[in-house]
Amino acid sequence: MTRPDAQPILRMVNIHRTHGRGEAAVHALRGVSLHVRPGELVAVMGPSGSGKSTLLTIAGGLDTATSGETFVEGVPLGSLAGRDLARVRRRSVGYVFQDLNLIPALTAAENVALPRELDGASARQARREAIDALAELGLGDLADRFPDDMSGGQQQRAAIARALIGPRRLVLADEPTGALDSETGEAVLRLLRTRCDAGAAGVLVTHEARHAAWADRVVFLRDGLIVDDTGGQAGAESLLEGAR
Amino acid sequence: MSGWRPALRIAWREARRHRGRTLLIAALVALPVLVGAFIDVAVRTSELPAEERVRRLMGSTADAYVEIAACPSISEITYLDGRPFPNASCDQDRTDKVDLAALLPPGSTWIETNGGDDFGRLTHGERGLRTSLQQLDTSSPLADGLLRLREGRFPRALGEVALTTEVASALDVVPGDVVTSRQSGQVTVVGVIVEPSCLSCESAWGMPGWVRSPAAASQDAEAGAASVGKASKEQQLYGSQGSFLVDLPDAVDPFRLQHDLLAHGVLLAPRAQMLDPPPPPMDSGSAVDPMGIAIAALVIGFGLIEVCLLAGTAFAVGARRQVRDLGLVAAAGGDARHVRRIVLAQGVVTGLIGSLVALPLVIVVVFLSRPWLERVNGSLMGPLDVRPLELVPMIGVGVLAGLAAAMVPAFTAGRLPVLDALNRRFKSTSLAARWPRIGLILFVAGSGLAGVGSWLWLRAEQGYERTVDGLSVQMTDQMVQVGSYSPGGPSTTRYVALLLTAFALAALGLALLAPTLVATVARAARRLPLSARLGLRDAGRHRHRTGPAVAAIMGAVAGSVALAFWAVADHDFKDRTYQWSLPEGWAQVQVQDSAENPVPVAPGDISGLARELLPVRDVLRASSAAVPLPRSTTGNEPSYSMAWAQPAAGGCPPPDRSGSNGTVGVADSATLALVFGTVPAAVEHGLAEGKAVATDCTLIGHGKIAFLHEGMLQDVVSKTDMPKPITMPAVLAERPRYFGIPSILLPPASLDRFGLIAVPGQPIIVTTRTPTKAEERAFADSLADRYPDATAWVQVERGYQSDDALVLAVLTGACAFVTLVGTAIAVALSAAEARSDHATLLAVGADPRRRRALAMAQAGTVSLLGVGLGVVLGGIVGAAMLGADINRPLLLPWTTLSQIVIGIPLLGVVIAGLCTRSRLPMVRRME
Repeated sequence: MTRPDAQPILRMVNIHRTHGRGEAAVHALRGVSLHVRPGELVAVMGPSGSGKSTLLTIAGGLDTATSGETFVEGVPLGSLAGRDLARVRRRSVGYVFQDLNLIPALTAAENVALPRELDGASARQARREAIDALAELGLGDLADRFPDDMSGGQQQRAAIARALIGPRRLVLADEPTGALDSETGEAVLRLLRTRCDAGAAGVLVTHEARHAAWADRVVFLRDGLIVDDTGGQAGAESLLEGAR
Repeated sequence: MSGWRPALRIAWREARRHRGRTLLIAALVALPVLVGAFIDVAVRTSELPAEERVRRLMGSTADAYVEIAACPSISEITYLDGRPFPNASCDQDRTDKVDLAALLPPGSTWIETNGGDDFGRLTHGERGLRTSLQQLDTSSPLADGLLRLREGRFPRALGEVALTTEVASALDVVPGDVVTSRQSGQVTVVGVIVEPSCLSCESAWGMPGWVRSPAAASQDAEAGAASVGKASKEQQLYGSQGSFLVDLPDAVDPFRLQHDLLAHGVLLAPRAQMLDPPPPPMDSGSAVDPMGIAIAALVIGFGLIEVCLLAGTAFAVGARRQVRDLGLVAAAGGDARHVRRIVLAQGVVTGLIGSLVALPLVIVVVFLSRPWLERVNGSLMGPLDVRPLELVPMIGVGVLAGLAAAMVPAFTAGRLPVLDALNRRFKSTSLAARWPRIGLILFVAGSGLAGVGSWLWLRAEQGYERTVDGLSVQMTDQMVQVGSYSPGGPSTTRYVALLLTAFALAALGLALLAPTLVATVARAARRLPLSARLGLRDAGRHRHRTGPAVAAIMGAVAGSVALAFWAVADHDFKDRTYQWSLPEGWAQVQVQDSAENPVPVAPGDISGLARELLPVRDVLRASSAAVPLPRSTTGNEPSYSMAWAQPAAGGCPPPDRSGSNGTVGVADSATLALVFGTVPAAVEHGLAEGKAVATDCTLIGHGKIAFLHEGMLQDVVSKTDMPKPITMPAVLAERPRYFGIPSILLPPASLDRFGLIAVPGQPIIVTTRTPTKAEERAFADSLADRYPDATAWVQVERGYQSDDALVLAVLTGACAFVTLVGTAIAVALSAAEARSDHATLLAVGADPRRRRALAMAQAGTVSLLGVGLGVVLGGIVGAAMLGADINRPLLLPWTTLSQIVIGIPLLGVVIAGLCTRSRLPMVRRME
C-alpha cells in the first residue's frame, strides 16, 4: 500500500541520458523525472528503444545520467564514487533482470546472501538471512540447489529474494517475467506486489499491460520522454514534471 | 577476509565446472613448482647421509680408517668434506716403510684399500680397453660396502676379477667370460660392479696379488705364498700413501690409538669420528658467485614470466566468459575490489591445485629419473630425501604464479563498467587505448638505451686496454712466470645493469604493443582467403588471448635469438683466436712416467706403429733449448726448464692479444725438418753465420731476438728485479705460429755460451690428412700397450672444437616448445570460444574441413607474430651485447634464425592441423 506522505525512496529529477556525440548521438532519456514512494509499485511501459531499461539502470546507479540527478533514499547518486555506488546497491537497491540473474557457481542461498556477504556480514548470518528470505518466497527447500537445477520461475523468485535481502527497500525489475510462462510470471509479479505492500518500493519495466496491472501506477515512455503517467499518487506536479 | 570468501567459493566452483581450462592453467603454474621441487629433492637425495658417506669410504664393518702419511709424523688430523687429512709438514717425505702389525694392537685385522696405481689393457676377443687395475680383498668382511655388486659375485681368489659396468659394457663381457691383460694373464670375470662414488670409472678389481709382473707371479708361486690375505712379513710393510680399513679389538680405545699413532706418521680415523667429523679449522670458502646467482635469478624470473603469460592467456579467456557473472556481482553491490578478487581467487585456486599435484609428482619423477641423475652426477645417490619444510614453500610459489597470471585479467575485469559487463560488451577504455602508445615509447626508449649502454661499455673497454703494460710478472712460492699480461677488463656491473634495464623496457614495450600489432595485422586480412581471413580477424578481435600468447612466444624467441647471436660470435672469436699447437691433423705423442716426467721416446720407436694405424707422412721431433736444474731430493721436479722467447723491441705488433711467446728450440736437423720441411737458403746462411732463426716477426726486432730461461730468475722478487733477456742476432723466416713448435731456433753451437742444453722433445707425427677419432683411439691404445709402465697418449690437432651446435639446438628446441605451447593454448581457447561461430559456418554450408583450416590459420598468425617480434627483440639484445664486445663481431646466426622464423611456425601450423578435428559442432547459436 502506497504511503503518500512518505518520502520517495527513489527520486529522479530531469534525467537526460545521451549515448555518443554529434550526429551519432542517441538521446535515450530526455528530461525524465520519476518518484517512487514506499509501498508503491510503478510499472514503466513503452516501445523498444523508448528508454525503459536506461531509466532502470540509472535509477540503480549502474549507469550515469548525462544530466539531472537521481536520489535513492535521499542520497544523490551522481556525487558518489564507484565504491559508494556499490554500497548503495548492496544496501538500498535490488535488481531483477529478465534472465540469467543468478551466478551459476553459487547455490540459491549463496546467491541471495551475496549482497550481505559483500557488505561484511558473517557467512553464517548471511546464510541465515538468505534462507529466511527464500523460505518467505516458498523456496526454503531449494536453498542449496544450483541455478542449473532450478526452474526459471524459481530462479526469478530467488533473484527477487536477493533484491530484497537486508535493508534494501527499492526493487528494480527489468522485464522479470520475460523468460517465464504466464502462470509463473503471474506468480513472480504477485510476489513483487506483496513485497511492495509490505513497505518496499518497486519499479517494474514490462511490455505487457496485464503485468502492468499489478502496479499502482504506470508510466509510459516514448523516445526518452514520459508521455503519460497514470494512477496512484500522480498529481499535477508529477504530470508536469514528466512532460518537461 | 569476508570479501574473499565469496570470491574463493566462486573460484573453486568455477574450477570444477571448467576442468579443462583449470587443468591447463594448473599444469602451466605447476611447472615452476615441479622444477623447483625436483631440484630440491634431487639435490637432497644426492647429498649422502653420514652413514652412507662413511660406508663408501670405510665399508660397513671397519672400526677405523688408517692412512700412512707422507711425513714421518703428524701434528693433527683435519677433516674436509668428511674426509680426514693429515696435517703435517716435514723437510723430507718418509722413505721408510711402516710395520702396521707392530703399531696396531694385537688382534687387529686390516685390508689395504688402495692397492696399486696400475693401469693395463684388458682384452676380450677383438675388444680392448685400458683400465685401472685395483687390488682389494673383497672376501674380507671389511670390504663390505666399498663396492656394489650388479651381477655375479665378488672375486674370492686369484684369477678372478670383477669389472665395473663401463668396462664390462666396453668389452662386452658377462660373468663367466675370460679377459686378458699383460699384468694378470687370463682372468675370469666373476662379477660386474660399480664404484658407488664413481659410476663412470673404468676399473677392474681382483684379489691382492692379481696384478703383478709374470716374473713376480712365478716367484710367488715358488715361495708358496698363494694364500690370499696372509701376506709375507715383507708384504706387511707399507710405504706412504697406503690406506687401510682396520678392525680393532673391542677393548681398544680408538681415539687413544689415534693419538698414539700421530707420532709415527699414521692417520687413524675412528668410525665415530668419521660419522661426526669436527669442523675444518677455517672456512674452506664456499665462494658465492654473484654473477652465477644473477644469471640463475634471470633464468628463473624469465621462466616465471613465461608461465604467467601463457597461463594469463587462459585466465583472460576465463574472465571474458565469466563477465556477466562479474556484472551480476557488481549489480548485487560488489565493487571493483570484489570483482578483481573473484578473478584473482581463481589464480589462487589453480595455483594451489597445480602445486598440490606437482609435489607428489616430483617424488615419482625423482624416483623414476634416479638412474639418469646418478649417471649425470657420476655417483650413486642416497636414499630418497624429501624434506616437507623445504617443499611447502613451493606451494607458495605456485600460488603466487597463479596470482601473477590472473593479475592483468583481474584488473581489466575490475575496470569494466557494470553495464558493459552485464551486456557482455568489451569497449576499449581510455587506458587500454593508451597502452600501444606507452608500449611504443617503452620500446623506442629501451632500444635507444640499449644502444647507448652498448656504446658506453665499448668505450670503457677500449680505454681500459690502452693503459695496460705489455709485460708482467706473476710470483708464486715455487716459480716465477713471465708472460704477456692479459687484463680482465673494466668493471662491468653498471653497464650490465643498464643493458638489462634497456632490454626489460624494450620487452615490456613490445608486450604492450603485441595486442595492437595483432589487430593491425588483422586489418590486412581483407584480401586473404576465407580461412586465413577468419583466423586473422579472430586473433584481432580476441586480443585478450592472442596478445599474451604472442608476448610469451616473443619472450622465448628473443632469449633464444639473443643467445644464438652470442654463440655464433663467440664461436667465430674462439675460432679466430684459437692457438694451434700443430698444423691441422698432426699429432703430438706424450709419454710420461709415474712422476710425470717425460719418457724419452725417439721417433723411430713409434714410427712403425704409427704408420700402421695413422695416415703418416713422417715422424719427427723438435729439440728445445733448456737449462738444467739441480734435481731436488724428492726427485719429483723436472731436471731442466725450457727457455722461452720474448717479444722483441721493434718487432711487428702481435696479431691478437692472446698468445704465448713460443718456445726456444735448437736448430738441429730434426727440428729444422719439423719447422721448415725443406730448409730455406736464408736460414742455412743465417745459421752458418751463427745467427738464430725466428719464425715469428713479433719475436725479431732490429735483427735480434730475445729470450729468457728460469735460471735467470732465481733472484727475482719483484718486477724491478727482472733481468734483461738474452739477445742475439737472428734472421726471420716466417712460418704460421704453432705453440707446439719452437718459434726461435738457436744454432747448436751457441748453446754452451748461454748455459743451455738441447732437450729432445716428444715425437710429432706429420700426417697426410686428419686422422679419424677411431684411428686416434686405436693408436692411443696401442701406444699405451707399448709403454705399459708409463702413461702414454696422443693428441691430434683438429682446430677449435666446440659444442655450439648442441647449444644452438637446445636453444631452438626450447624456443620451439614455448612457441608450440603458446600457439596451442591460443588455438584451443579460440576453438572453445568460437563454437557458436563454427555452428554458423556449418549452418551456411561450410565444408567441415574449414575448421581445421581455421585452426591452422590461427596457429600461423599467433606463432608468426610472436616469432617475428621475438626476432626483433632478440636481435636488439644480441646487437647491444656484441656491440660492447671488442673481440666478438656482430654476425647473424642464419641457421638458427631460419629454423626459428620458418621452421617453428610451420611446425605449429602442421600440428594445429593434425590435432584439430575436421567436424564442425552443432550447438546452440546463443549460449
